[in-house]
Amino acid sequence: MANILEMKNISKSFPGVRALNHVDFSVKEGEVHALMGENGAGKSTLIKVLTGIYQPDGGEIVFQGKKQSFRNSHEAQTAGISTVYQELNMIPYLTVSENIYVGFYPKNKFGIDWKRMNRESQELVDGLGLELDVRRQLNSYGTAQQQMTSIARAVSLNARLVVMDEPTSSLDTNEVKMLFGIIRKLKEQGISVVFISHRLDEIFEICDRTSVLKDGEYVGTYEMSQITQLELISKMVGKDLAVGERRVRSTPVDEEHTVLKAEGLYSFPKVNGVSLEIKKGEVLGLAGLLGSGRTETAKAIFGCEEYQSGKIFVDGKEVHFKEPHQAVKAGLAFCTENRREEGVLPDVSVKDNITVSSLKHICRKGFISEKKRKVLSDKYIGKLRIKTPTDAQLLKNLSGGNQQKVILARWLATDPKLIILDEPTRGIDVGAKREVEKLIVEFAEQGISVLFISSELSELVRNCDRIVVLREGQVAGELEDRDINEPNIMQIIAGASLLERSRKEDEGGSEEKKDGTES
Amino acid sequence: MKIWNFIKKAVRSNVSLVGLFIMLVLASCINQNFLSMENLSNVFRQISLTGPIAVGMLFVILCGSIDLSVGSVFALGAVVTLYFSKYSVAMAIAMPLLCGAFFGFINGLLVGCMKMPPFVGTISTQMFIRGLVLVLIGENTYSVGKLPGSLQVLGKGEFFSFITVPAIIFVVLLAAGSFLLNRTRIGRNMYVVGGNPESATMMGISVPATLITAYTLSGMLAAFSGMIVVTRIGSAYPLTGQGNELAAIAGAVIGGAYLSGGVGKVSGTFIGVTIMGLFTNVFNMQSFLSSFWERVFTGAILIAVVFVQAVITHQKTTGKKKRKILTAS
Repeated sequence: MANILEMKNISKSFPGVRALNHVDFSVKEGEVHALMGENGAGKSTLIKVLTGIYQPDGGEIVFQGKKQSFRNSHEAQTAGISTVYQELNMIPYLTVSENIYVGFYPKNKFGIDWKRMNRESQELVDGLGLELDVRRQLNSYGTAQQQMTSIARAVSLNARLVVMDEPTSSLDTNEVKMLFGIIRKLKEQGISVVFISHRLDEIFEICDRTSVLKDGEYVGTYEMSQITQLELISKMVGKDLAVGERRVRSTPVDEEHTVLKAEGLYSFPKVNGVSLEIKKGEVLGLAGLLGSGRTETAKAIFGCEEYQSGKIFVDGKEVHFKEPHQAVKAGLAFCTENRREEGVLPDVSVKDNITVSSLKHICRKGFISEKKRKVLSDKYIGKLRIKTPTDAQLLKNLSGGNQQKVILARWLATDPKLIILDEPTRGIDVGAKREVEKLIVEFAEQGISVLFISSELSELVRNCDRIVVLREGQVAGELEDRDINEPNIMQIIAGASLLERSRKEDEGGSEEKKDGTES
Repeated sequence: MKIWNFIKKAVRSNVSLVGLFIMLVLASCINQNFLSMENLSNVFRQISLTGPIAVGMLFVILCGSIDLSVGSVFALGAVVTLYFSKYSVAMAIAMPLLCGAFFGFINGLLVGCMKMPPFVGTISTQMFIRGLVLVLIGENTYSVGKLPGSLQVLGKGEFFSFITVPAIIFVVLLAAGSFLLNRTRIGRNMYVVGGNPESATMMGISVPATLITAYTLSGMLAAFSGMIVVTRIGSAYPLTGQGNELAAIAGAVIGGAYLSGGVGKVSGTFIGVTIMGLFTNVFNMQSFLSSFWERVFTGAILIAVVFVQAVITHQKTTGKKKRKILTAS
């Protein structure tokens, strides 16, 4: 089979980051090709370069034998490349048929020909085996159907290559089956699919080949039939698995005192019954691939996301935080993984950034005491070794690592019992990483418990007292003491997949029955 | 049965019809003369004078934006009409439209291309244009003597003594607006841009171009409304049209447009401005409450409408989530 797409030597930089570094990527006609890599590996950037949203700094794109440089997504669409995005990219208030035809309306002499549009889109949708009434509003359908609609749109535009960016991340088992049905139909019609997902089972079920990216570099392309899950993961993580050195605690964990306990936490759609326990002064690592429900578990605990069932105990008392401020009051702290969007106040001084969550502690007679505020911020600037010329410096002028430290300082200033760190070392340089790790250990030894979420296994291995591995929203395994090493974590992440899938299919069957009786 | 079905369908497509119906019943109860041809014709003319502003506003709101400058553009349109009526009727009609389109285009540039928040961008032009009007005509009411007869027809003309020219023009405008929104690409693009601007870009639609079109039309229609009004009353005072932007927004929103964009219809906006027009009429025709209460009621209705919108959208999203949870567990 010939290559329908060849991307050669693609490079793309953003201020301060080299997102893609001489990456090659090619797709054959009628194949389903997985694009794999951890978060930040450059998958999204590569896709955006392909679909004309970004212009590459270097390299060339050959599509259907012609050299192309798309200036926008419209041009890519016209040439035959369509994208189905992870977040739904359709217009909820318009009908299904209009969503399929936006920008390419059929016309008659009275303007847009609605009848023809509805008829043709209904034929198209029926042809794909979807049960949709195209005249209904898109938002009267669920996530899955909306996603199918965007696939229908791709097909209607005569796409020869459909890019699916994490299409399954919000689908349940039955819906995923439906999606795979459609992908197979596309394949029959000779349409190529680039499939991005973090769920290895899915990749192995539907894909023919896979290309792996790591830190913006091309790692390689592999036939699905000739690679195991474990091998694939190690390609993504990008190094031969090492046992790794581990730190030694100077003070033992207070085993008597459980700070946080979660039982059977269930939060749709990513968390499917997670139970965990954190002792006083313990660093508990939460490992798992992206999309395994790590962040969502933490957010449910902290009250950022609702959970439908399960219990949470803080210091043995049952709690149910509806809003994060309740969690803060109970002594929890949460460092988000999206530092830029959810963490920092960029145009505000370092001092204010540090003290903003603990104004209560620096008040005198109900008013903020400037003196106390300065004392507090100076204390943490010193303690966390934050490098800033003055405490009045605007936060945006600090380096990523120091910004992260300011966020840590902000939470430490609230005097927490438990601090949740979601990817605290993402996007900061190696030196700062080590510093942050060291600080984490320091807190723990002072009796603050830490829930440490990270995609970097080596970092978890180095610093955690115990590691819980999540897989598809469930606890897949737990490692303690000497068992903590990268190969073991990998085994749990990858392992037992076949067993799990067959169990899921059983559940799928009973779900269908339940659906029938309900509707 | 057929009629019942028809009513059901109509109400489903425009919930504001219920409000209109209630208003009509109320109005005819309060005012014995409400249903007289003379009064109805009067109400309809009143709506027709400033109704075009609300249609223009609908375009902008559909894009998820807002235009606060229309009150000033209205005044400018009135003044420019008067000024050019000295020279020729054609200029008196064309120039205000051009001015309105020009400032609408500027609004579009500010919001669409320079990414200014719509509120800030259009309130700046609002002040700018209002200032311009004051500079042009000073603080006194501006008039240029008797207007040419063919111009007066625009505002004053009538057939059979109850079909007025402004009303006819308004109906034509409504039809044209409806055609634009339902049958042309640019009109549909407004829905797409307001529904989800990021997706619009991904779907190959130019968000700035769509915004510029909507703002230009809005400016043009506001100036047009100023022109019609001034041909009716023959003079313009410098603060004329203040608050028109809010009335237009209220009309569109009461008629079912979402301020967040993506939802709204010309027919709904027509119903919205009609409800507001009936309000004015009812308040003018009774003597229990002072006419200042009108604003109180309009405000209350707006709160109710926006609240209902919020509840509906909330239900739509969370309802779906709950259903999904049932199937997943």
